[in-house]
Amino acid sequence: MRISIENLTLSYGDSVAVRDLSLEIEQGEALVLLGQSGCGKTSTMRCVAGLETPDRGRITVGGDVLFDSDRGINRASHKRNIGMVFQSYAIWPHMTVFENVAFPLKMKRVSRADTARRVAETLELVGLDGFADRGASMLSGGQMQRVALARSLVMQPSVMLLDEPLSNLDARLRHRLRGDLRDLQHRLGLTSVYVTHDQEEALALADHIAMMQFGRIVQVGRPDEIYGRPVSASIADFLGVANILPVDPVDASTVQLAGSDVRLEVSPYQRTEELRACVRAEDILFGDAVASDGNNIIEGTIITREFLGATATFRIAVSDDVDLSVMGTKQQAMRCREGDRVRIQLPLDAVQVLPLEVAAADAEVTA
Amino acid sequence: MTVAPPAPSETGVVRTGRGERRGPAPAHFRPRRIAGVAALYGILGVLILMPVALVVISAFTGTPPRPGNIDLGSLTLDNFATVFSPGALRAAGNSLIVGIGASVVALLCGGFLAFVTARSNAPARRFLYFVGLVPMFLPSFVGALAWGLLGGPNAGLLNILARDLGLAPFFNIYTLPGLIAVLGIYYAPYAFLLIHASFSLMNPDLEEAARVHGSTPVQVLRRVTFPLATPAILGAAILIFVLTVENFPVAQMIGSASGLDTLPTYIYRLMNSAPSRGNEAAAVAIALVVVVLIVTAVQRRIVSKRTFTTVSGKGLRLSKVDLGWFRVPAVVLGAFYFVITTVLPLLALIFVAMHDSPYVSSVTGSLASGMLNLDAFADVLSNSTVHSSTVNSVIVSVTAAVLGTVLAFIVSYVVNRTKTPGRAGLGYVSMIPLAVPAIVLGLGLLWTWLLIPVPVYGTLVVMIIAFLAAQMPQGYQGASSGILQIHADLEDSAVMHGASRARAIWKVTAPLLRIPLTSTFLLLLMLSMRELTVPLFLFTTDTRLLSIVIFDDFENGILQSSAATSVLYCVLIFLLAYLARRFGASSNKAV
Repeated sequence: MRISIENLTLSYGDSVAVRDLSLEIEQGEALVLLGQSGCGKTSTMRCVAGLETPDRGRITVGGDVLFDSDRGINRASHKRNIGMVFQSYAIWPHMTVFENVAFPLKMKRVSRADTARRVAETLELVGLDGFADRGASMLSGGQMQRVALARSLVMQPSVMLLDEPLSNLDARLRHRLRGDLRDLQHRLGLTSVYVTHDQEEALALADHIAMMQFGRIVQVGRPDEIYGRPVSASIADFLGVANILPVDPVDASTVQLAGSDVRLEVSPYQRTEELRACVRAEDILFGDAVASDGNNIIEGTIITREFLGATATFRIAVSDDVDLSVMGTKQQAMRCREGDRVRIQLPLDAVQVLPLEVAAADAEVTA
Repeated sequence: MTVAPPAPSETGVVRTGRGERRGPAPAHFRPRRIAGVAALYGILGVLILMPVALVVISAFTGTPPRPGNIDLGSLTLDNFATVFSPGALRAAGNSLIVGIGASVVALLCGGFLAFVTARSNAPARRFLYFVGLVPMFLPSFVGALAWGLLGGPNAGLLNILARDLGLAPFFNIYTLPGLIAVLGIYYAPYAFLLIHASFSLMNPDLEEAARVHGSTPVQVLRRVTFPLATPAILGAAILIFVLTVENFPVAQMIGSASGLDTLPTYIYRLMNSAPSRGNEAAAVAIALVVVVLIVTAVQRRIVSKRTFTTVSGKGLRLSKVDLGWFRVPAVVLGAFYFVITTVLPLLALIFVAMHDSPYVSSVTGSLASGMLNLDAFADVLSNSTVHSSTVNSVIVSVTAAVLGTVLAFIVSYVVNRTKTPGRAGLGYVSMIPLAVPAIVLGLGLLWTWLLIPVPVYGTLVVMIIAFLAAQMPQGYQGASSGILQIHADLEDSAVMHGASRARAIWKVTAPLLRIPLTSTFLLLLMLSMRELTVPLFLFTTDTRLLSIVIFDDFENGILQSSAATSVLYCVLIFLLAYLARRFGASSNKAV
């Protein structure tokens, strides 16, 4: 169901965890709250769950007002019918898998036969058929995650909340479960909110990503938009943009790298106090790929190279104080040595000049 | 050089730069919680604060409070002159030595047994667990009585036995070390229970991480396991120190025979002198209360600095430490503790109870010439005072333990898991009786329930109320250390899946706390059964408890009857404990 959060504020004493946050999530959509630890993403989720009482704001799911500070509405968590997968999974160790999953149904006084049927179906859905009688403390991490998922799915929740659902798992399992989660979410048409600090996870799971910093949403967009067009240098940095270079404006389409005399031609940008040129390592051309003449061609010296299998990363100094991280091929890694002089090119559309920080996002999500 | 990533100006929640101060949340979300906290304050206020207040008042006035006569007009500091009298200072010195010495002895015994049973591969761990727990069923004053029979300088059975075997008498329990040893070994079960719970609830990952990072098994213990058990160890140390410092009956039975006064016996003598000097006793007690409050506050500070959520939501499988060559000696040490706390004292009680005359000239001689019979036992069994006091003891103890566990759980839940304003104060109030010597609390309770116009004085209800008040700290500590070790997610998750908060507590938190809560209930039950000092001022002829009958007989020199009643008393306590444990275990299977 559609979730709508309006002007949500949550504070603990003097510290504000969530600050005047508004967000709309459409029916059947997967939204990921992405940000560093302490940015308020888990607090936001816990407000939706009803585990924290916000100071101000309004939360609606479907047509239901769950929380409204103005009207004094605060629906108790257990009456919200919201599924939640906790980061620690919170699988009750004193119950079997069946008892864990059957718990929500027992709370709703579903008949014994229906409970057995629905639990069996749900366990099958998450790939745990045959585990019903297993003690919950005898499960692996991946199995616990599936039990936690089944426990929430079985209650046919209006909305699913998942708090770092994959962070406790190893990489391969994470990949597989990520696919499974996405598949399940599509199949069931479940409105889901994920919280994560892992950009790759966010990109893979989300229909939309809401970037959070300091208790605010600073950018909302489709995964490709967030990845390709971060609105600030600190977001770009969080999203793994390797080169974030302080620059001074020269004119409307030129900047100069601070601490060097290198000038770059760039797309038009907004002039603000602190500007950064953000360039992904994989977007910088290097060696033979560089045309004989064109924009933004610089000479530099290779300082280090890291062989990564399919690719290689080089650090290339373009002046005494400035060096760049550049991704090349494995052949280049074998041909080049530290100390070699090379030519690199920063294509016009690979360079974004962005402010260091932005205030709250001006756009609200529309799916 | 690359640009450093823009440093996040802060981690954690964001501080507001603005001066605007917001209230915690709109008022209309709170009233029920606040009403709940207020109700708890009300209960604890009447149970604990009012008796203490009456003691404080009487410390600063010239006459003790009586119905219709609380004298607030003539405040005076005269009573405090007694606090600095040579007698009181000597008693205070003795108390300090006894408290520290007994705590060390108890922590060594209890901690050792807890570690061996919870985390080692020693053989016979179930036996050792039993050994660790069993002195709890032997009230410390019965232990003192038995050790008095065993270790008296002339008539002590051990010395008589030595003489029988042609050795010189070698033992005198009526000394300061004797007092420390008796208190230490009988208070060790507190250390054992608290530390055992902590050891068995630990997250094994934390230890395994230390092993992975290069620690030897011994280093893991020293750097991870024991530091994680610090709250339990510290809690046990504080608890035992305070309990032994304020222990009255053992000090009375062992200390006063040789003229050793501790603060409680000094207070007792002030109260029992003619005319009674209750106001001065109250003044001495207040000095003690202040010191203990400081100790408790320090402990709270230390514990609150770190998070001790050691149980994760991921289930747990604890590894056992290999003791190597020490496996057998560990069991032998445990067995030795068993002999000195339980076997020898019980044998002494039975021997004296069955001996056909109060005077024992030779232990081996009496055993050989058949001077033992069951007449004394028969006398006690047919005594109607013993019958009615047995019934009274059982009713009072079971009721007080059940209510006490429930109240302690509610209070520590509110303190540790909610964010209701004013909750921390509940914790402090709960801990107050620990700082108030039982003998003074008993007096305060007497004054309270004489003043309150509810006709409970002279009934068993006032006994139950008294035990609830006296044992609140033990219950609160037990419940809190359990709650702190269960991750809050486990309960929140039940709420998200459709359970009301109360139901989530009932279905998830309470079952997960079954072990700590069962130990808390057992602890309270045993404390109630053993309690002698608090009801000492509250009983009437109809509401005598077994402990009081035993103490009376001892004070009046009727040692044989006292010993015989003690044996029955111990059997009864064992039986209750056995039933309680079985009940706790079977209710688990029903979940």
